[in-house]
This record gives sequence, structure tokens and C-alpha cells, in this order.
Amino acid sequence: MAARAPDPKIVVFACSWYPLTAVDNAGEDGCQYPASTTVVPLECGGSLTTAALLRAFAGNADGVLVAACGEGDCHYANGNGSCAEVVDEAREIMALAGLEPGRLRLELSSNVDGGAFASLVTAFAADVGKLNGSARAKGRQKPAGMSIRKKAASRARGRSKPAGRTKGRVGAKATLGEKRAPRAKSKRRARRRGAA
Amino acid sequence: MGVFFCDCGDEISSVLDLTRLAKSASGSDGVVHISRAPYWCSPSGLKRLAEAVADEKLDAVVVAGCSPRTHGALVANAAEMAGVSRNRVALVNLRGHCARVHAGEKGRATAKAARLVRMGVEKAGYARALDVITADVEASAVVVGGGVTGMTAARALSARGIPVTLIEREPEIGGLLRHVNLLYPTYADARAYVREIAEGVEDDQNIEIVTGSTVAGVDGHVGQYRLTLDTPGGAREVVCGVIVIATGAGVLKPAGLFAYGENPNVITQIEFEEELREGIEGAPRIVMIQCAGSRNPERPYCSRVCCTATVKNTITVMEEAPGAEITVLSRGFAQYVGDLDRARDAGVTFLRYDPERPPRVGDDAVEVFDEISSTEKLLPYDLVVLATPLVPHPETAELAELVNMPVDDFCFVAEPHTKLRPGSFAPSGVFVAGSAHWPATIMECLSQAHAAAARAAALVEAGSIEREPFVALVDELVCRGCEKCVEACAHAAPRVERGDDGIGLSTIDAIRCVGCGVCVRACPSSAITLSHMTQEQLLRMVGAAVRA
Repeated sequence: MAARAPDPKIVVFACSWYPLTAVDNAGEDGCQYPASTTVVPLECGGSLTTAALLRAFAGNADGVLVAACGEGDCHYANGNGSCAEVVDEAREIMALAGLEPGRLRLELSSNVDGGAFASLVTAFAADVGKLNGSARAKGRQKPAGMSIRKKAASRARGRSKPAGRTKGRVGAKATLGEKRAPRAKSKRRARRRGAA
Repeated sequence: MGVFFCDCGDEISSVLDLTRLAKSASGSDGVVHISRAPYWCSPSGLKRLAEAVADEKLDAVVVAGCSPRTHGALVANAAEMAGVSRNRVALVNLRGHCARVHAGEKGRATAKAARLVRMGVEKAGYARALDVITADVEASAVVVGGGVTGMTAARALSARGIPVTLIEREPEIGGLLRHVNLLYPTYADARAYVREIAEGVEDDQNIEIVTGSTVAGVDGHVGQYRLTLDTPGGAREVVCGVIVIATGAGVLKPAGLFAYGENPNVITQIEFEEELREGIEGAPRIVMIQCAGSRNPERPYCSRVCCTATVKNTITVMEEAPGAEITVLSRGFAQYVGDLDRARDAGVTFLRYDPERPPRVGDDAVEVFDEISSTEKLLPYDLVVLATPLVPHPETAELAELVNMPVDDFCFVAEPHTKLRPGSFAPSGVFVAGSAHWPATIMECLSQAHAAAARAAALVEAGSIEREPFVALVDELVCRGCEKCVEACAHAAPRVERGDDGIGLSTIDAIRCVGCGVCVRACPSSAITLSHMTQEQLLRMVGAAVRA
């Protein structure tokens, strides 16, 4: 393999109290972590819904880290308990979709140290990278079972097609989840690889 | 919408390719204006931002710059003054969440920055225009508890022109001090002291005293509380803006401990106070045992007032009956106990016992191993007096639950920890003072009463409260009244009312709601959304976060 495997895309849901402070402190202290990490701030861990969590995987996230305040430290009383339940629920659905449980991690912590956050997310990305590696070794480019494609999803919402990518999709159905003919699929994939 | 890129000096521009970012932002839905500045937060930068908003009639603003924690308010204020709803302003942290933490991966950092900007665009673009939530504050107060703390708080509130309803459980006001003989350090008559304060309360035109009554229910929110009282004349409703809890504490009666309840000659210090009022005859032999029922596994706390009360009582006895023999068995005295030397000089004996080897109270004598002299002592007695701790009344915990206040392990009302973001939450309209909060001396009770009254009065005098519009909203067409939101909420904000057709509808009290969102997740019908982060916004933001 000539090209290096892309860094695993990690989405971090961070509640706005302790976890986001840790993320901000990492910024202040200049603690480095992989740029393939994106932090989605939430007011409280309690406002995380299972749908929002799974939306990350339905996109092209390789790993999701849910960071909320430590046990007993939720500033709204029970938000962190609620997001722990969301994580459990998401894991059940991931199992049905064939996604490895290690791709989702829950971190309930009141640590605001920037370095601790950077280490945590770097370690998590490394673990998810290993899962990606073994998935690739089994011949799967993406996790099995999650057939909701970004482009199909955007078509279903009626947004304008991204420029330069209309060929090859005429006649293909736009509804979510419907299987497309394998030949059309690989044509699009080849085009995308060429265009990227 | 306008997207404003900040170089942040060169902190951001040295790592991220802002030209590329500007280009990718221009492809986003709704973006009509893109500009770049070395520092948008400078006075000239803010002015330029406001001009751009006005010139192009922008209704949403995304600033791609630094931390909302430090500069969020500055940017939001500037945009708001230019006419953009505060909620439709997003400050994306390209500095601390990108440039400073991915310095070694510039290409990927720029790609990530594009995602972050896109998230900001989705957030601001789909944000609702919200106004600050305000609520009027009723210009009246309720004080629960007519002891020295409650009476003092009521007088202090009334002195500021605030009408007070003072609710007392007993048939008369005065509280625990009615049962005390003399006060420390003046040795003045406690009953006279209480009577004087009570007369001030009774004569006060602004205070209505309701005796023999308790609070059965509390409804509403800060500024608009509706209390249901259980009075001898039946149920009664009182509306007020603020509540002061001054329900005090009782003195523990430790059944079975040191033969209390079995032996009629074993009493508590508060019961002894009543006996002292009637006077001492002869030369009694008295053994006093400290920390009876406190500083043990069940109640590990020190009750703070008993040592002083005990020493005060020994002096009272010795002055009236110099022939009396008093032995005090302590586990060490609290540091602030007063008049210890005076008691020693008066002839009181102080011994020390270890909790592992407590005194044994027999029918005629107390056996104790004195740790100071390391000898076993036999103390014949006429009376054994136990210094027992202050414990909250059971009604205090019930009242705390009604107003959604936490209680600690011993059922004292705990103060909720200070919130770090004052504007986001509604201020608490319930204040606690005196021994309901923790065993307190009279001086402490008075200070706390004044402090609670001052804080309560400040709310009333403000006339209204404001909080940021971060609340949960129910879609009435979707809600089916299953009450899962009521179950999930820790702040008693949702309430389900059934209509005539039997179908329930949940409404969420905008002042009680803290905007945490657990109800959003709990609702099986997806009927609830957060005003400041709707499900649509969140899903779009996540979508932007994972965009290739």
C-alpha cells in the first residue's frame, strides 16, 4: 500500500461544562491531537439523542466519543445519566448494523486538563484505527450494514447536487437504504476516487 | 448569513488556509457575505462587522475565530446591536479547537476548519430568533418557621416594605428558644428575649402570622410561587415571589441511649433548661454526658451548640446551688465553647471519655473510664443530663422536596451549589437560614436571617427576573401526555394536564426548565425540542462534522 491509511474520523460529543472546558484548555495549552477529530458541543450530555449519535456513524465517522461530566457532577442533575443510556441504546443498534462496539466510547469525567483530553482522543483514535485496519483486512472499505450514503441522504432532503458529480447517478434511485446495482456503484466509486 | 474569518493576528492564519476556507464557505446555503479581518474583536473589527450586518441585512452571523468562552459575549453583543438575534450568532473556535491543536497537520487542519465553519453555519442558520425570557416577581414573601430566625427574616423583609406571611407549625411563634432558660453569654432570660422579638412581629402591620399551619404544596416558579397551606381553618392558598425556609431543628431524644426513656432521671439538656427555670433545690449530684447521639456513625456531625449550652447550665446551677456536684463527661470540647474556665473555677469537674468506652448509666451511679487520669470512676447521681444534637424536623425535608431543594444525608437543607453561568438559569427564589440549614448559634441564625432576607428582597425589588432562552418546548400537536418527560426531569419543569377529552398535554415551565434536554431524549414521540439547539440543528451539525 503506497498511501497511508487515512486517520480515523472521530466525532466527539462534548457537554459544555467539564468536557468542553478540557477541549478549550487543550487549545489554550497547545496540546496536539489528530485533526480528523471534530468536537460537537452540547449544552448538556442530556440533550444527546440516539439519533444524533448514530447520525455520526451514518455519515462517515469511524468512531464516536461521548464526553460528559463525571458521576454526580452533572450541573443539571441527571444529564450525564441520560447520555449514558443513549450510549447503551446506540450500542444495541450498532450491533444490529454490524458496527464494532469499540467504535463508541463513553467518557464521564470532570477532568478539565487539556493534555488529558488530547491523550484520550489520540488513544481512542488509535484504537478505532486498529478496528479500521482489521475491517480493511477483511475486504470491507466501510463498516458493513450502514448503507445510508451521504449523497443519497442529501438527495432525499432535496438539496442541490454537489457540482461535477451528476454523471453515473442518472436513473439510480434516491431513496435511503435501497440497494443499487453493483456495477453503477463501482462506477461511482471509481469516479470518486479519480475526482478526489 | 455572513461568515467572518479572523486571522487572530496570525495564530489562525499561520496554520489554516483562510483563502480556501472562504471559498468553501461561499458554497454553503444561505451565505451571502464573507469577509476576513486580522482581529474581529478589536473596536474597528466590531464596527466593521456591525456595518456589514446593516449593509447586507444579515440575519445570522458566523465568526470563525476564537473561543466563545472568552469572546462569545463580545461578538454576540455587537451582532445583536446591529440587529441580529443573539441566538443566530455563532462563534466558531478555529483557534483553540483547530489551529493551536493541529499545528503539525496543516492540510487536514484546514479540512477540519471547513467542517467547523460548516457546523457554525448550520447552527446559526437553523437557529430560532429567541428573546430573553422574563417573569414578574410578586412583591411579597413567605417565611416558613416562626422561631428567632424566621421572625428576624420576616422583620427584615417587612422593613423593606415587603409584605410577609409567616407560617408557624406550633400554636404560637417563638421556636426552640421558648424552651431555653438563659442565653449565653449574657445569661439573660431567653423567654423574655423571644417575647420581645415576637411582639415586634405581632405589631408589624406588614407581617401576617399564620400559626398551627404547615405548607402542604408548592406550585409555580421563582417570582410566582403558589403555596397551599394546611391551616386549622382548612386549606388556604398564598401567592408570593420568594420563600425563606427557617424551620429550624429539634433536639434529639435518643431512646435507649444512656438509659434515656427507661430511667426517669436521665433527661436531655433542653429538658434540663425547663427544670432550671423552676429553680434548683438542695445540692444535687449531676452527671452530664456530651455528644450523646452525635459524632457517631449514624450522625457523624458535631452539633456545635451543645457544649456551650452545657457549660452555661453548669454555671447556672453552681450559682444558684453552690453545694451541687457536677461532673461533665466530654469527648473533648468544641474550640469555641465559652466560659469553660468559669465553670472549672465554680467547682465543676470535667472528665473525658472515649467513644469506644462510653459511660455506663446504672440506676444510681454512672461508671466511666476517665481518659485524662486513666482511672475508672464511679459517679453516684441524682440526675443525668445528655447533650444531644440538633436534628431537622421531618417536615423540613418534606418542604425541601416541595421546593425542589436538596437535603443532605441528615435531612438538613443543602444549598444548591453555585451555578457558574448566572444568566443562563433562573435565580433561586428559595432561601434557607438558621438550623434548618445546619446547627447554628443564635448569632449565626440572626446573620443568616438577615442575609436571606436581603437576597430575597433583592429579587422582589428587581421586579422581574430574566434568563437566557434556553428551554425545552413541547409540540402540542405531537405530545400525547405519556408523562415520560415528567419522569425524566429533575427540575419538576414539565407538567401534564388532561383535557376534557382525556388526552394529556405537557407544558414546560420556562423558568423551572434548565435546558438540559433529558426530556427531549425521554419523549417517545419526539415531541420536545430545545429552543437553543433543536434536533434539526443538532443533526445538521453532526452531518457537517462528518462531511468529507
